[in-house]
Amino acid sequence: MPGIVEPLLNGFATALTPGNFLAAFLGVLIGTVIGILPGLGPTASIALLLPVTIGMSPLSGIIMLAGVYYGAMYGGSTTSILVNIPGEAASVITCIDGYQMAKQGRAGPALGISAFGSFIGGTAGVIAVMLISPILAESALKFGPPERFALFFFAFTLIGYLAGRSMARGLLMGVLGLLLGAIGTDDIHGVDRFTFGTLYLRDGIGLVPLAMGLFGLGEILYNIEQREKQVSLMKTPKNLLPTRQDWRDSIGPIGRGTLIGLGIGILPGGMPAVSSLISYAVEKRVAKNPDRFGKGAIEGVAGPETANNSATAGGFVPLLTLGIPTNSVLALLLAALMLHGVTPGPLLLFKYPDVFWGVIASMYIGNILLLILNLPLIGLFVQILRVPYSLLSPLIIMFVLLGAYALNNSVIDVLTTILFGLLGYVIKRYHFEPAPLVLAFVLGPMMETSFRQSLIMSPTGSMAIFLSRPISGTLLVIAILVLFLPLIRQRLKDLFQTH
Amino acid sequence: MIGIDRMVGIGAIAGGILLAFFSWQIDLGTWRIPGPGAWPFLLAVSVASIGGWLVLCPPPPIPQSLVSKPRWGRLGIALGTLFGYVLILQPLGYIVATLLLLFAQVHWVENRRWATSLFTAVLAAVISFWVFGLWLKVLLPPGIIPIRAGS
Repeated sequence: MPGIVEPLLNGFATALTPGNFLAAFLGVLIGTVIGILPGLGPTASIALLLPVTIGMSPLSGIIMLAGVYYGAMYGGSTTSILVNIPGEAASVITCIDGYQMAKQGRAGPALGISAFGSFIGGTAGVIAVMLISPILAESALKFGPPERFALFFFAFTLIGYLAGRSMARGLLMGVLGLLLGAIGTDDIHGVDRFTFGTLYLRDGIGLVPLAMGLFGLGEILYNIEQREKQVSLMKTPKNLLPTRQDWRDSIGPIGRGTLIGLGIGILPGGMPAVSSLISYAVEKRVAKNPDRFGKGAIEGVAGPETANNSATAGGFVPLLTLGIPTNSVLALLLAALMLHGVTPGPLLLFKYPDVFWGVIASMYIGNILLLILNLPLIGLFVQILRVPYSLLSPLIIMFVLLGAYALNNSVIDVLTTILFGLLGYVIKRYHFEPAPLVLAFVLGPMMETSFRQSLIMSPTGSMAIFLSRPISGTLLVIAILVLFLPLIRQRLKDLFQTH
Repeated sequence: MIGIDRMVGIGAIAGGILLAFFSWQIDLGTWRIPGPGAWPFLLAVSVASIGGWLVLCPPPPIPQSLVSKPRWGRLGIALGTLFGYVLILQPLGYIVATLLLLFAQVHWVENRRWATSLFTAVLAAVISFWVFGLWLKVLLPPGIIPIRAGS
């Protein structure tokens, strides 16, 4: 504990400098707005903001982008409760009981408990990041290339498993991401791979055009065929404070939501949306009267909202200590760090303590800012929904293309963004998951380097090096088990059915 | 009828084989010192294998309620204007190209009245040029309007 207090205080000193404080404020403000607006998630927004952060210091850039991420989680619940439209995926479950509460005239307590739960979950998550990260980073320092490769492989299979309705689809997206990451000049031999003689592809495909296209443009193109009507707004409630009974009903779900969120957030593929779903299921299971769920139970709002914010913070543990992003938003944050020359991983804590502790401190500040912003200004934020989407989406397209051009003043970057936008549309249209693609694209080059270094290290040049070392062996065995899990599950199901 | 997963699977098998061939040509190296083609070769084999998995055991089909009807007309216009933007950005410059793009998007894709579309397009193109080109000094192409951004 004494080893944490001093660097944390230094972190606060850094995070409270005017530039960094402004970055945190802007981040959570943009995040809240993004969370409220349906159709534009945190991934797309962070992709759009990536070029903006290039002109900022690494710490300010990361503070702002992290603020957008957890700000979106806060904001997402507002539209779920007031208009039954989730602002982002993690708030889908909040619609069920949140909107019912609003219809019964209890929108205020629903919004209030959602904000307080988010604050508690988010803050508890940051405390966990602060306590777990140094220990994990210390252990990860002992990792060599085989362990790193096994860890990447393990993360990759888990992401594929948790990605969506089919593991094969998730893995296909992941391998596609790895292949896209392999385009360009090979770092070790200096040989061009899949460049087809073009100069542009020699440096590889840029993450910013890829992410802006897949998530930003892809989302807009998909919405063109989805959009039907502008939402009608419910009157914003005056009193947002939950009653004493509301608190009594919510304290358990908030506690459980915090733990569930943390557990899920740390796992690769553990997206906040998954944690809110699990939290809802747990609350329904432990409730004395589960019939109340779906009819305006405050536990159905408190638990999931706490869990998704706790998971958001929890995801920073593997990102900052192992360099492994657990979802697409964190993959973009990893890319942002790398764009600024900061490589996340076990050495981050020792080489860039100002970045690590500055981000942690900014998250405490950001959570307080969000509580201050979200409670009194909720009426103002909801007015954003009055902006017609038909005007908003062309403007977003303009910002996407402008951002793509501004990177290198290159029209080819604009074309690349549009092509990935088309791919993003197709992926979304046919219910594939773009997240494993981006994650694998970011992890791919590091995974390849570890793979090749491991084989060079091996005395006989054999794959056995991965299985002969205890950590890498264990991780690979678990990863292979995860790969065969759908098959094992099917076999067991068949067996039970026959008996 | 062949499902989307089987179609993707067949595509993945064909693409995987093609990529494996290209990777082979790059140089696979040896187990001791893997060449630059080794990693893409492994990935290409993985793509083909997953393709096989999708063909043999496709996941259950998506419920029809979740599948929206494509609006090819609006989507076609949206994509056409985007690709057109790439072609006209350098010769016409940022302001004119963006104005045309926004007008087309608001008027034809979003079905807004032409006056609203024109007003939105002019306002957004001029303000974004002023903010990004003149204030943030992004080197936006001047084209036919002789105002140099980024200086």
